[in-house]
Amino acid sequence: MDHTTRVSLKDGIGLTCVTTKQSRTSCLSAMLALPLGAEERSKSALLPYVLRGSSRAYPGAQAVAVQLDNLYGARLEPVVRKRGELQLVGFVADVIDERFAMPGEGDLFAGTARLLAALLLEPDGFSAETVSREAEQLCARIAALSDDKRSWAVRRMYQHMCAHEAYSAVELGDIDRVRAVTPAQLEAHYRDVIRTAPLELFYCGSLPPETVAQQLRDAMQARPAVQAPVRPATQAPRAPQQAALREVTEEEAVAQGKLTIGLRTGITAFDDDYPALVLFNACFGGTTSSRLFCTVREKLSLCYYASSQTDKLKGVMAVSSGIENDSEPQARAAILHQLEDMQRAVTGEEVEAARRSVTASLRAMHDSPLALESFYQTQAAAGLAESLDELIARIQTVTADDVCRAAQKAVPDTVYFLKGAGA
Amino acid sequence: MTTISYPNLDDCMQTAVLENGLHLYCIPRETSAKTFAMLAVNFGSVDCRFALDGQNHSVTPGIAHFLEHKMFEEQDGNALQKFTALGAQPNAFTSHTMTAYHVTCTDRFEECLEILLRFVTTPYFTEQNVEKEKGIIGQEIGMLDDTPGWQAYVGVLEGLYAAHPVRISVAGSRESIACIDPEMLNLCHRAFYSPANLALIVCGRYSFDRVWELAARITPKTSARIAARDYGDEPAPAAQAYVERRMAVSRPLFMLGCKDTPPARPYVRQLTGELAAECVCGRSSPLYHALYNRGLIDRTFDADYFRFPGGACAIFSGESRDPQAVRAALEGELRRIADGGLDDAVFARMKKALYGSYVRRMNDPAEVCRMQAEACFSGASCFDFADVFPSISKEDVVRRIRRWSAEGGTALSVVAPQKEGQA
Repeated sequence: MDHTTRVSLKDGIGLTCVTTKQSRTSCLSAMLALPLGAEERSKSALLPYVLRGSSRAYPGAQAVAVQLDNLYGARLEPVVRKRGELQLVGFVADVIDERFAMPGEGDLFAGTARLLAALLLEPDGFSAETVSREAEQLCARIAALSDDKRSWAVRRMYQHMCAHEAYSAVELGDIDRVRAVTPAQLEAHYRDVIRTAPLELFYCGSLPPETVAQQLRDAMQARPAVQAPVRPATQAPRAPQQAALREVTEEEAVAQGKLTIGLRTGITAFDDDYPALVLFNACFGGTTSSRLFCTVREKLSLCYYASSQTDKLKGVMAVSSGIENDSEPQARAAILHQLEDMQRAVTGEEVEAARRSVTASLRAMHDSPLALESFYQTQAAAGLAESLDELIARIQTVTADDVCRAAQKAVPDTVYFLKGAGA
Repeated sequence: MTTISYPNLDDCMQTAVLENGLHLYCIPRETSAKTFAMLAVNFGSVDCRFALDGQNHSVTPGIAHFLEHKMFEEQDGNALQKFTALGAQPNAFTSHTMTAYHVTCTDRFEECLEILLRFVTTPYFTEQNVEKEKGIIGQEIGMLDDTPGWQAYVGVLEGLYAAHPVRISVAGSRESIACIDPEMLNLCHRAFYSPANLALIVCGRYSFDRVWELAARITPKTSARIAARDYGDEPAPAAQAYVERRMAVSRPLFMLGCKDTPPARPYVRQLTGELAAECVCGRSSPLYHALYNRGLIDRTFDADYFRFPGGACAIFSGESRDPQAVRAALEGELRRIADGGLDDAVFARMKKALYGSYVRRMNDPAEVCRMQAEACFSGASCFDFADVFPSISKEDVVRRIRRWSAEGGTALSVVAPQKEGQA
């Protein structure tokens, strides 16, 4: 099996190493953690895309493609993520593990680390052509967020529910602002970010942590000294921001309606109650044996889908369902009824089924370097020290009463209905 | 049982041949959460003319795929439901070259294996269940008719081949399956589903002795005489230089096929052909960069090689506003390389990138089994690539490209947007 090590490379650079021989590929990522609510988030979102095409050592898309193919077809992609009220920007790379290079070759990880560092830390100025091309593509990505109505309805619900919180911001930025960014502004912003933001690295592969740390220290030499890195925080209030349940209906030209209900639990991954929240979510709408799936979908046939999800840093929960436009009142009543029912009692059997399902999917993450990357980079950005196995262990001790108590903390805040106005 | 180790790949394979001729290939992955089993039949859509017991047969196109559908039906119910009751995920596919049945599970592996072995080796066809299936498969064919990528693929094979049955879509047509009856299905089952024509491939956690015992107990004791196959006389040039279909697409899809000779050593040819295609227009090649910068191709572009009994071809595919311009550029590059224009550095890095992509595919047990099924029907093992790639010379690659550049050897298939006014 694998084991996880935390290393501090130097001030402002942390490293999480998962050492495993199971995977044929190794994974490396570098993420800068920035406050999502900042004015500059549109510039920050643009950064990794522009950086990929602006390196001094590998100028332009073809130079990067050549180097990736020299590294046995390694992959390296810009990434922008929203985690609680954090905006993570950086790169994720994966490459076949050292052991599998052809005889006489090697240094695949070191080569990948050097390429990533060359893109992240050693740009040769930003050209107007690169900035405008990448800005256009980023705007297209932002515009495409509304294509998938299921996730779009959840996003719109949170934008209403958290209207006065940083959480409502779009991590990819705002189209008008992205378009307005000039190369000079972006360079100034880059110099600022690279000096102030905490940088977190993640590695999963067969190399020992000391070797990984040394190679990354060498690769990251170009990073300027960091002036007191500030780790951005997420606010997780439990009390709704208004007295009555907020209700919002918006219309779009689609056939199926999307009913989304936002709840505040105030429970985050920092809390002792967090494992109970994980199992509450699984029992409520996280699995195919959950209340929402079995009752609202299968038994009452009110939805095409009905599920729930949480944000481990923000302490919020979203119930998401696809319904016929006419069934909105019944679906809403049925979902809220299941919540109230769970706040009264949950059965031992449903908690056990949820525990099995959650444990199996957390364990299956060990099979996937990219799943581990996402988990540990979120932990690191938030300042959470818990490992995957420690979380699994905590989940084993949760009782049905704990789950019931977590359910009682969930307060419905916003009902958002994306009404189909005909396709 | 024979165990073959592949130290360069950190893998090994346990193999055996049962008395009835069934081949077993087992690849242990002790730490994997999942186990995958595949029973592959050396019978694809191209096998429609064969001799059995001294008699020649010609069966209707689409019968291999039809047979795949019908095998799940058993006298006492349906194999799919038996798997689902065990929490396993079954599936099957038919290609030009094989039919394969597979199952993924996290536990109760031996029960799953038993179901798999039994249903594939036990035909149960009635007039009623065969008639009913024609409607279901007719729907599937209708769906394929509406799938632009598939239509481009069928088009390019139609353009390249005049006689070889590869020119007919895997599922056949509504008309071609109309005549299928239980007698015809029984004939094909007897001809091709005999144990000596099957390979059982397992990857994950298992006991080899138990796999062997179950296979020996459940599969028939003896094998029928394997049917001799005939693919007709195929001329060297392409049948048609250009094939066009009009469908509801926003911009044209294209596939350029380059006809190659039938290989003597199929596995080595497959790797050589893929490598040659990458050298012509892989991600980091000069031509890719030039076409990308001219806006003629985007990231959907792909270079591949397709091999089947009695033939082979390279296929370059993607979306483009001007497929004819892409064809001209690709054909020009083929001639340039044929005249000695392949750069050593391009050859070396394409070889590394392709080698890396094979290692990467080894991460997934399902992919390992699929690769082994293809390799074993070509007289090789899925791990042989580690030895074969280093042995491929630049001259081997240029020889293929020279062949592709022969006058009249290519076919361009285009799926074009419908003209205005057409629904």
